[in-house]
Amino acid sequence: MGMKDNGEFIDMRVDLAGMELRNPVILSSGTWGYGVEAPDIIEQVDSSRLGGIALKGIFYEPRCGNPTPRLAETSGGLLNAIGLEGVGVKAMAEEVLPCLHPRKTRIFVNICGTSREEYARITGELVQKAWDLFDVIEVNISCPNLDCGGMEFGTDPKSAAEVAGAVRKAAEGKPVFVKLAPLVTDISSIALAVAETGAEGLSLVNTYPAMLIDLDRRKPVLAKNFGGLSGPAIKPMALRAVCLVRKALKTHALSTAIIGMGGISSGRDALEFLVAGADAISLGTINFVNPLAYEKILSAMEEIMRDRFAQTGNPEDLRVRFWSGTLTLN
Amino acid sequence: MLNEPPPQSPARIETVRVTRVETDGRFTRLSFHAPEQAKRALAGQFFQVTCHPADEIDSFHTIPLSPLLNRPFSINRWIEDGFSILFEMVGPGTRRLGASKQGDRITVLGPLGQGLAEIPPHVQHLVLIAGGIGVAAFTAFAQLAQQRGVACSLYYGVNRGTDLALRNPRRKGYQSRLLDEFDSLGCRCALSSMLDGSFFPGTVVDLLERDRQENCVPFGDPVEGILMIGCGPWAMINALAKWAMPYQIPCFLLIEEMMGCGLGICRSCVVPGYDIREDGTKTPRNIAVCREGPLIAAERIDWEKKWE
Repeated sequence: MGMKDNGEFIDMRVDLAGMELRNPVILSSGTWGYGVEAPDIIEQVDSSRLGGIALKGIFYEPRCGNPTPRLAETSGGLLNAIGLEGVGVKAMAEEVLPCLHPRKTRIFVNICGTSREEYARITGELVQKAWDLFDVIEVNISCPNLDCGGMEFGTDPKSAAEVAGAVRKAAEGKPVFVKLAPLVTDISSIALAVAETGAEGLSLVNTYPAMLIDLDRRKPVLAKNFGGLSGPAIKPMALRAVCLVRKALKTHALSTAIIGMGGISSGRDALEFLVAGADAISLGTINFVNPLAYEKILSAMEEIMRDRFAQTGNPEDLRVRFWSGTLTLN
Repeated sequence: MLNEPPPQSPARIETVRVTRVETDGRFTRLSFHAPEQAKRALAGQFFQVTCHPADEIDSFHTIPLSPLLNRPFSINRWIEDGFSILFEMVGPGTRRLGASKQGDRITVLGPLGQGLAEIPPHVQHLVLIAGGIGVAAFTAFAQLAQQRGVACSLYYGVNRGTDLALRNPRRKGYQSRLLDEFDSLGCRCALSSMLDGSFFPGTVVDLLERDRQENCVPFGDPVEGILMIGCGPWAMINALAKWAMPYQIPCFLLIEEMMGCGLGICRSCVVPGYDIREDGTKTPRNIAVCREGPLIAAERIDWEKKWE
């Protein structure tokens, strides 16, 4: 429940696959580290104002990631090819998650693998060692920056469903969200294949494969040649993906949850993703520009909702969950 | 990631006012009214600076869309009511910032990273070695040396005399406001240039070696009581680290890398390096420059892997 306004309450709570989130704003994997790196900034983060945080992705073993340059800027966005530098499942279960305990917000553990078995093994270990310390397993089958694993599972409905099924089985009831790759022939068919395994949710979308060239050197800017594009530049494409997937799910009578993400940088952006069919939204690139951006976005969403209510008098406009999926296509 | 040291001072996101803009058309120095931030900052620490004045950012958006990322700048010097940053206008971000006007409000996040908290007691001479715009962070170090009564020298290497920062383009010769400031802080300046006969011909490391051979200040025989801090292109700081090693001169580097967040979160600015235990054993790992640096002991860098 939020601020009182003319006798009406703003209600930012959302239901995400049966879990209540105090508001729909989540921080995307890879853009807030493990939530422990910048304690002085984290002190300023009021977790009670956050819907959730998706931790930086892990493989089974620790990884040192790609060579540098790993990051480059472009108009309205950035390219990254970090390559999932990460601590591995052991440190995640034994060091990171206990550090975040008692958790003040929903915690998504993001996992990646080079085989179906690796995904299942990571899940099994998390479930066994850290059951009480996290809320959701987010399965990354969409990282464009890996030589093997990642996106190769996310570009084909059958292999996407195989990974989702394997993780679901190992998750023993922990909600499973699958993060999809956007640059595919038909994202709806992949989303449907994943949803039919019973996965509780979809994270839409990961970065778009892209490149930048240093004209003077006639070389790619990134050491790995290609990277993933994120930021405001991809917002319209990500919105389309959310809209298409929600439509396909509805057609098949599936109520799989969707977390919408891709370049959200304002309250309006966030509400557009909800209207397009997302149940919650996630902030990525903007965290690099302002690690406290979530607060501004949340306040801006509330302001827009109050303005809307002032115009319509409809109390549903003050309840953010009623904004989800209200888009009417022409 | 998990074994990185904690920040030295609390970072905050704040909007500060530009009090002075100095430029020679290529290098620009912005001074900010930021007394609190200046008090918290150490020499070598940096701020993430938004490229756009705060008032120009679209009220719908919480960030400017292009250039999107903040730019990291070491503090150049402390001033009475704040601090300055000094940069070369090379890309869209630094050009945009260089067009700032007195009175503009700019958002800064910091101070960030590890700087020099104190000059160790055995150090009698602080030797600063700059390549090009690497000089930007060093006025603050010279200010610290002066406050502590420690002798200070600047070795500054440029390609040409015209590459000196904050030069007066209307005056003949190579008079530079920046060098005048080092002089007035009691910091001895020695210049080298690859392409210009006005200075010592060669690299800044060649100049160090000449001074050592001739036992010039600060190099006595044996060489002791020196702390070296280098900042510049990778090839230069690598040459410096190699040069310092046989003389066992403690050498720290201020590393420049492409940064995303400045907080240790995005992992863009990592360099291959080591954790070194007291018994000398080394464990390889990535060092996040923004979090564990920019001031890093030279022996912690894995140069071979860096050049792979």
